[in-house]
Amino acid sequence: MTKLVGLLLVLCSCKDIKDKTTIGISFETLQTEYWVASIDALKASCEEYDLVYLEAVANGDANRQFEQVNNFISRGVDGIVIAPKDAHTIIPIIKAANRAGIPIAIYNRLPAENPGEYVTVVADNYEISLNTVRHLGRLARKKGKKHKAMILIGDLGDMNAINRRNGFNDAVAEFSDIIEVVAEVPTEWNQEKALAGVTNALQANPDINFIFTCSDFLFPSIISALKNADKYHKIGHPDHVILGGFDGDAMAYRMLKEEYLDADGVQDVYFECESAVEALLDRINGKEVDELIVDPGFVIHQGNLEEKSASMWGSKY
Amino acid sequence: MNKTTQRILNNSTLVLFAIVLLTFSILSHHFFSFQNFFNILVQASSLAIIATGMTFVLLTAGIDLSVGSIMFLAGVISGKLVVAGFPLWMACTLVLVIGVLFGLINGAFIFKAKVIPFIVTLATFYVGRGLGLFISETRAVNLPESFLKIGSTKFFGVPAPIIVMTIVIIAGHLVLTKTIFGKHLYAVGHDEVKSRKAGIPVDGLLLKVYIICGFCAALGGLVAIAQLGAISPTFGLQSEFMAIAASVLGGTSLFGGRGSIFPGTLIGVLLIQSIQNGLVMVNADPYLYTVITGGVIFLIVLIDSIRHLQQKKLKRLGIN
Amino acid sequence: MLLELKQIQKSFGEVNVLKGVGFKLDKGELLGLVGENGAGKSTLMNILGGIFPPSSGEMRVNGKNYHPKSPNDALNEGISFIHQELNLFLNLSVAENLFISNYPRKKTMGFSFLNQKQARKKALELLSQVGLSVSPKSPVERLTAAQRQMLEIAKALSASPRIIIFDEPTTSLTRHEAQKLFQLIKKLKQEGIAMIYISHNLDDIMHLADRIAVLRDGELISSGERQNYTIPSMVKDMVGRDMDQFFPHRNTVPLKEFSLEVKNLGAGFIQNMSFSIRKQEILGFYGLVGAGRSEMARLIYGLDPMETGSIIWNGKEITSPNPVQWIKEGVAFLTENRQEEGLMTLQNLEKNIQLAALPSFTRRFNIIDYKEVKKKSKTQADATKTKYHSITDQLVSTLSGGNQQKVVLAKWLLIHPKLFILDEPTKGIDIGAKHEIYVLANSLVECGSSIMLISSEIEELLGLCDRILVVSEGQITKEFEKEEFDRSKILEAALHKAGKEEQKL
Repeated sequence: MTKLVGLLLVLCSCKDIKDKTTIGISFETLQTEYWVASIDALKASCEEYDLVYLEAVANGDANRQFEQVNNFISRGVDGIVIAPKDAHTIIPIIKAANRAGIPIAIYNRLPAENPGEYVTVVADNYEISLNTVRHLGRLARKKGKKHKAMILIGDLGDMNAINRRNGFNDAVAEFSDIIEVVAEVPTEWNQEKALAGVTNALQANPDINFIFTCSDFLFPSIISALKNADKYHKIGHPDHVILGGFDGDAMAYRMLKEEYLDADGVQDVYFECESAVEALLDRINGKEVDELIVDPGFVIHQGNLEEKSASMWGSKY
Repeated sequence: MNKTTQRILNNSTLVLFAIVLLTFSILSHHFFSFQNFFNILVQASSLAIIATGMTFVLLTAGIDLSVGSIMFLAGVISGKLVVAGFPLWMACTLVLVIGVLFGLINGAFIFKAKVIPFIVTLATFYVGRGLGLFISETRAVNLPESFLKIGSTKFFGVPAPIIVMTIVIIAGHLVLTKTIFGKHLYAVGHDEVKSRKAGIPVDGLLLKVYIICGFCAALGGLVAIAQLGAISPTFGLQSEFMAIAASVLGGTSLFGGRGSIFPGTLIGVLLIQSIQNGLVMVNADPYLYTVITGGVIFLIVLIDSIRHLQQKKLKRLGIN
Repeated sequence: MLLELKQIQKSFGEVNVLKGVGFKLDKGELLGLVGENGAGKSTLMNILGGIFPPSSGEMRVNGKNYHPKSPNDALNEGISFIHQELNLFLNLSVAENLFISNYPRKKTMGFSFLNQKQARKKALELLSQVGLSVSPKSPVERLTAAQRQMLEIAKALSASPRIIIFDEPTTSLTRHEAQKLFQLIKKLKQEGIAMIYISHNLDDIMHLADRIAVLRDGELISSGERQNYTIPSMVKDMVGRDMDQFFPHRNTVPLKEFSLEVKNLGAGFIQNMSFSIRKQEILGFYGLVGAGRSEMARLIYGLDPMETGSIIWNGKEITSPNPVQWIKEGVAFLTENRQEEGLMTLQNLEKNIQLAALPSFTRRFNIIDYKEVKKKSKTQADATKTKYHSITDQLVSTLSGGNQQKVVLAKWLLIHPKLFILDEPTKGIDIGAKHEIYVLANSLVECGSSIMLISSEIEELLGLCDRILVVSEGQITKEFEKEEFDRSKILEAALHKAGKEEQKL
């Protein structure tokens, strides 16, 4: 379906392609909110710079993505932004773009090796989750008592999931006097597994009072499990479980507003998209650009909610 | 080969299940508790319902890959309706209708157009997921409290999901063992040509089987949603494989004609859930999860093939 | 008259399979229907059984016109058809198989459930009618071939038929089991059931039939009382010429040298088998089904691992036998089950024939000389007198049993075997094809090869072999030289040890 829509958009945008600078946007998938927000932000950035864009979604198929990029190249786009399937399949794509002399910006994933000329825009998953968990740690210290912690980790084949887990582990280590990690729940990015995992962990350790999830989209599962154990309470309630997440989606935004969520690590989608488009434009105009643009992200919490909510992508949805 | 080893081989899943229960009970004192067994059952309920439908399909030597997509699409549509203010019962009924419709489409293509089940259901797999993503705009659909309440309601102290699961399994078991439809199912799975010769209405039977599977998928999805409280865009992804794995673990043959819902598929589901549960209980290293799940499947398949080899040998010796 | 068929014609497209065939059948009568494969017997019976309609002609049951549209119509008219390939579901129980089409039911709370109690009662009745003492609950896959055959008959009886059609019912039975079947058939005859019995085994036909009808090329050649027939006259009618000599005469005698020597072979229940085979000799192996003859051949050919013993081939020891090596050495093995082991039925004839010999047609750089191999496969297909219309476009599955067997033979002949192990080479194939296979075997030996012939047909062994070894319970129990050949002694030797086993069935 998404492919169909993409195709239609490509067809519709055929007409005025010649006179304006054209960017090809290729996404591996649109299967999570984060990707949808990203592609929306990219399109917004393109419009801001008065660029024409073509978009294509590969639905998780690396081969198809390669073909789509080749199509962009033969259509004569001026630049390409790509959210690749994975760190390896991007390499031939970069080579193809380089051969055609078309600048390419890679969104959200680092290529496994350096095959040529490109710009990478990535969020520092490690740093963001480290800072988020540090914030949670300080909250725990303020409460004074000992905390038992649980982390929901993502697919172990996903570098981003690993970095978030590492960030959590290193941050918790700084608070080892008051925080003990008693449960690591692998979710494989699956809601049902997350619900079962959290329920089971609460069964094994009824005194868990510190939960961090490597992705916000697992919050409904956490809430459901907490409610069943009668542990879902607002901040300030004596039985409140310290909650932290990562992504910055709509659910997290609402939970922050309703004072259930303590802190959320946010990838600055707007910064990333804008940087990607700017870098491409600079390349197209022959300027030197950094090879790696790192999005430091930010931690949003009850203390800075007003000020930061505008840059949190989830607040728009 | 003596009788005891033969019996162990024949009930390999059950033996493995016992070993798993025992191991985790020793490793964690939280594991062996009434409350935790309740937990396992609740968590198993959705998968058990889906796997029951899948077992029907597998018994006819078919396969249904669209199960996860049915769950997702049906969930998204009903979720959107409830959020828009439609009454709960209407949404729930609609979910089941969508499941039945999908089954009808699968079944009709398989026996009318004679397309193989793998291809038909792969197509509906994509169609279902695509439509679901389109309707939900790839955003999580958050459901109102009322939905979650169904999931946590208890009757005489038994959570609703367990009750639904029990009804589905008993019904499925009765249909397979006590009705002529069930017997015909095994016959068709064993040999379709012979079944036609024996005057079994094969086409109608296949249609019914895929409808049952679609219905179970939708119902299983409903049970899962009622516990989750939200439908994320990845909801139901790979559920079909979990269901197939559970059925096969429970002794259902992918070649059709062999298997059972009770105890077979139920044991398969409980085995999978107990392992997941137990690993969390002992706070195992996250990397171990997939290794162990894979190991269990490997072991069962290995035992299964040993069993088949032996049967083949016996047959050759003319003993069988 | 219970059944009357007049001027039945059937054509598939351009091909006339039946050209106006008719016969009559009375109550309690058994009609033996014989003919070579492709003569039209099965087509005629399929028409009668409602599997497809005739192109023209009329059928009457009890004087009424009969136009079955499906097997169920035939069943309702009291005509049951027992196919050569049994229509049983191995994964279901005896009772479930008996009532797969009309299981007794009962209503509970508006739902229709199986009435297992009644099914059990009815099943036991039917089983006792055919003299089968198995539990209605036991799965059919645990039954022996003979028990399955009996079960199929019980199933036919459950519809209280007036006519039963048997298509080759004895192919998978031992002689002893077949005798039991014949007793049952006689009993049914006395009960007034009419039967049509199709078989290649003319002895059985002579033994059972009241009347005989012979088909050839879709025409009824002759029919009449059994007394008017002898086996040679039947064969003549079937084949259209006198069988000058059914077992061909051989012009050579076995040489002194041995080609294969087997010493103390053992694995599983095979124990201590020792024998040797001379060049230009046909060595026969007789025994009951399950006595271990096929297992022995599999061990020698390396299809199953041997545990003890040694194999000496032309003076040198073969330490770990395997098919690849044997093919290189020029040893071929025609397995008992051609469908599963020897043939790719969904491939054309040529590919099947080339299969074993392909490596010997490789030229420089391992490139296969396809021109040559094509020519040679055609030669072999013709040499074995395989009937086909296209060697490249016809699937093997479309050939009759006899012709499929000839394709397997052609495959092995292409490697020019020095030793040919034949395991039941003529099982279930018609008399003409049998004769052709005998001629082929004979000329192979005359050209210098040796043959190990495993067969359950004692006549075949007597007619072809130079020596016969009797195998029983995994051991070679007796050896007969050509001068000592005696039908009853050989039979006795085979039954001797197995006597107690048979009684258990």
